[in-house]
Amino acid sequence: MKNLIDKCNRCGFCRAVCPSLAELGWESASARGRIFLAGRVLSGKAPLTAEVVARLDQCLLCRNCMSVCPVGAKLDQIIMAFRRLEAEELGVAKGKKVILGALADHRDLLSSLAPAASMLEHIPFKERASNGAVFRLNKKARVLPMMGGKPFLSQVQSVEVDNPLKKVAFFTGCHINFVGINVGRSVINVLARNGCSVWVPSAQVCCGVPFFASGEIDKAVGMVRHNIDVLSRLDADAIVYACGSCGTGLREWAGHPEVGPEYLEKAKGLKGKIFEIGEFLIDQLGVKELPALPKPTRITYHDSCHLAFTGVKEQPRRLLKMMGNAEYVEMPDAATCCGSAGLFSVTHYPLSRQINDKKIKSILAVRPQVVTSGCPGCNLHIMDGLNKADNEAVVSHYIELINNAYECTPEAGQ
Amino acid sequence: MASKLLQKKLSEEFKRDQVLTAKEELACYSYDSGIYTLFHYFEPDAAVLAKSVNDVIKTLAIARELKVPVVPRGAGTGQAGGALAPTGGICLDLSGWKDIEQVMPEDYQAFVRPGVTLDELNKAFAPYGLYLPPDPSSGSACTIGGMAANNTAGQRSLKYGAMDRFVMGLEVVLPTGEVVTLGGKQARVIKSVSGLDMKTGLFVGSEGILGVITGIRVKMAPVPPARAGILFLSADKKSVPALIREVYKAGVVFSACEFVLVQPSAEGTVAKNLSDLRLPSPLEMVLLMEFEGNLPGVAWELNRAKEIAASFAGTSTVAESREQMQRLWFLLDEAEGGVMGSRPGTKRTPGGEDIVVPPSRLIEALDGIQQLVGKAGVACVNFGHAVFGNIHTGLLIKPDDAEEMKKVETLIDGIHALALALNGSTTGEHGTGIVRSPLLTQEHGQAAEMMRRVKNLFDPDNIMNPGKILPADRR
Ligand SMILES: Cc1cc2nc3c(=O)[nH]c(=O)nc-3n(C[C@H](O)[C@H](O)[C@H](O)COP(=O)(O)OP(=O)(O)OC[C@H]3O[C@@H](n4cnc5c(N)ncnc54)[C@H](O)[C@@H]3O)c2cc1C
Ligand code: SF4
Ligand code: SF4
Repeated sequence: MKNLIDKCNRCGFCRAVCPSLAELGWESASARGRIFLAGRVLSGKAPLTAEVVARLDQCLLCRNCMSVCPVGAKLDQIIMAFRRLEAEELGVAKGKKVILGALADHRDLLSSLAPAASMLEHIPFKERASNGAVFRLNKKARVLPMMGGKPFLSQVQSVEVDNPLKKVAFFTGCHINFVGINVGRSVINVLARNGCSVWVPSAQVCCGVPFFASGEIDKAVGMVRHNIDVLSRLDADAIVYACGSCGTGLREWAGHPEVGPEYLEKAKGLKGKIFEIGEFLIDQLGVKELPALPKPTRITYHDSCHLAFTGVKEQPRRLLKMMGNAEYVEMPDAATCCGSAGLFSVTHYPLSRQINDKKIKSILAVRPQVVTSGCPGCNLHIMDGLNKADNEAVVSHYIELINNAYECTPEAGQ
Repeated sequence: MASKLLQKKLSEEFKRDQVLTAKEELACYSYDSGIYTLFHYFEPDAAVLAKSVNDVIKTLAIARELKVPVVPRGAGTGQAGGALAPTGGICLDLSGWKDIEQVMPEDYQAFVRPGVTLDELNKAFAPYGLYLPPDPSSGSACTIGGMAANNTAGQRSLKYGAMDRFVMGLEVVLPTGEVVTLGGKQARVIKSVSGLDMKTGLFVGSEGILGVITGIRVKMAPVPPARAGILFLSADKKSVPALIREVYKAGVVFSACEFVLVQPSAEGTVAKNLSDLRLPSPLEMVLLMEFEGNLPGVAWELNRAKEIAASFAGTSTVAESREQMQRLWFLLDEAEGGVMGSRPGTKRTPGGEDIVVPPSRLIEALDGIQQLVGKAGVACVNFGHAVFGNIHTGLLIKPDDAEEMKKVETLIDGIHALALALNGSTTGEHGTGIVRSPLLTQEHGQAAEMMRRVKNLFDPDNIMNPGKILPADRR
């Protein structure tokens, strides 16, 4: 840990990209400040107090600082180590505990809540209505669940196509499983429409990221190992995900020191097989054409921090621009954080709202009809912000919109 | 006790989220990006987040009343300890005051508040094809206020100059509380010799010891359309100054001319990082020559430089566009990274990191630094702005090794002394700060006393950033 902390040379470059610093303004809210404070506590120079914790908890773990750090300082690992100490000595905050507990141990309970969550589906066009597609601008009326409202994992097991180009396993992640059910459905449909057989390995568990973020490292490590075991056993050409944060969990967290060399080695076998959905469509399947949207539609795209961190930036945009009738507009500062950051938006709602207000301003500047991103979590938070701003734009995962275009276009031969 | 009173007074005057007094907050104002805080730890007694002229006036009034220091701070990317509070007092954090108040593209100007960063300013002017040319590597984070206060330069200051060429006017709040506009009360000009030049002659580069810069009127320049360059790997570092002279004399105006010294112990690691290139043997220095301007001019400069470089011992890699130049800059970084690999497990820290020597004595100075570094038993990476003879030294050290750190302190003194012995200067762009203030009289003689008189004139109570530039021992 000391090495991780010493790595920071306090150049301050990270100040330019930190969403919480941009709102709060004081140095302790910068990555540099957080590393400094965590370092003082972890090296015993300062006591672990609620005061220090409160400051480190203002970090969204968006990793923007890491993408500009010239020396590769690992702020995320430092915060995680700190939060572990915090969890051990002061306990995990109650609110976080309830949610994390549900993800880890009470997935059944969450499952029973899923039907309510399906109200949050975000589909801009009503499915092949008798008089053609109708653009739905009134979000408040947008309550029609497309599926039964049961968790995704319990609904869809597999979709087979003849002579598949690729056999793809879909890692859903918790959000898609419980809340973003239509996103999961869209991933499967779009893959099938592009010649892939898809199945959803039922033994998958949470990617571990929320547990790392809360300092519950042991649980997180267990989940990472479990998923590595499950995914390594699959006879798949590719493993596809559709949530930026899950992507970091799948692609990087095998590298956490506590996951251990044996699993790191095992994870190497998965390297080159794990892709974000847009990345897979563009880079692996070489998709060059998509169906048109039923009506001219002004669309913009928000970069989820974690997705952009793994290098997925251009592919979703290219896909969106490919659809006929899509009028793509780039919002200013598309890559700045939306303030969601998973549990952060629950535990630090006012700050996360403040950060989101800036995002909403950027979005409104380009007057979109549909706001897309590659992260179901970002979408929820953006939707909340648009609602507060009394704006009618629809928010959807970009894959939902693509699927929507497919659904409004009859399949060839039909 | 005094600090409690200070905190109380500030809290009465300011909104809650503008005054910081908690230990955890103040600890985060104990550092900048320099080496000094590896040896020393100081906190201010309070920090104020100023966002208006009135905030600054109020802060200075309290400081005057209680006779406590005020330390202006931008992004804290400085390396000379200028933004530290060695004797406590108030850290005046201006980094959140980010208004770009006037955008005047037709007049090639902007008026900004001190917390705007260089990148933010350039972004606002991008639609007009204008930018602020001084380009420190810290440009994404450092503030225009900090750049003016430090007279910051950059890799391309060879062609364009440092901040003093671009600051056309300043608004400053003096420690006495007076607000003064320098460069003409209502002027919006980019040329003027009216009156004594107090803006660039005095305040630019004053590192916060004369007053607080609250507004900066800067000249913006058109973004040059073309860029090209050569990465020259020299087999004979001694011939590099002659190569630079030849190119310069041929009528080529470099936009940048950067070097990385490859000492024998680092040749292997550098070669590994540059393995895509044709490497000379030995590899002693990496030189990046860049040209910027209009397309035909740049093509001519590139060609001339290429011809001249061909007669020197080494190999050249050419870039003909902005995009290709990015690769050359990347390779230069890789060379630097390679040198860092020469002492693994160490921390790279700036120390004696900004000396300047007469251009013809560059190699002599580099050899001198290597000797001193060898004597201290550490290693270093030397790079910098070749035409100026401005050497940045990154020491590769083990901060936990107390013995070594003692030697490092002596080493830093040695590097500064070496600069002066070679008719050089202790700092080319990073500033005097606290780190180099003890050497002021040695470097400037009688002129140091004049500087003290100027400071006393503006700041009779010595509350503005004491101990910086002028050593703290006496006033
Ligand atoms: C990796 C790295 C690379 C760098 N490269 C360069 C380079 O190429 N060229 C270069 O010149 N520098 C360079 N620097 C040094 C530094 O970044 C610049 O000098 C920068 O302009 C300082 O700006 P800042 O906002 O961080 O100021 P700070 O560090 O906060 O302050 C610097 C000094 O200015 C004073 N000050 C700040 N704001 C005000 C104000 N509004 N009014 C009065 N006084 C004020 C402070 O008291 C202090 O003395 C580099 C630093 C780093 C870490
Ligand atoms: S960019 Fe990296 S090294 Fe620089 S201050 Fe931030 S964390 Fe530290
Ligand atoms: S992870 Fe995000 S919020 Fe946390 S310090 Fe880095 S940039 Fe700031």
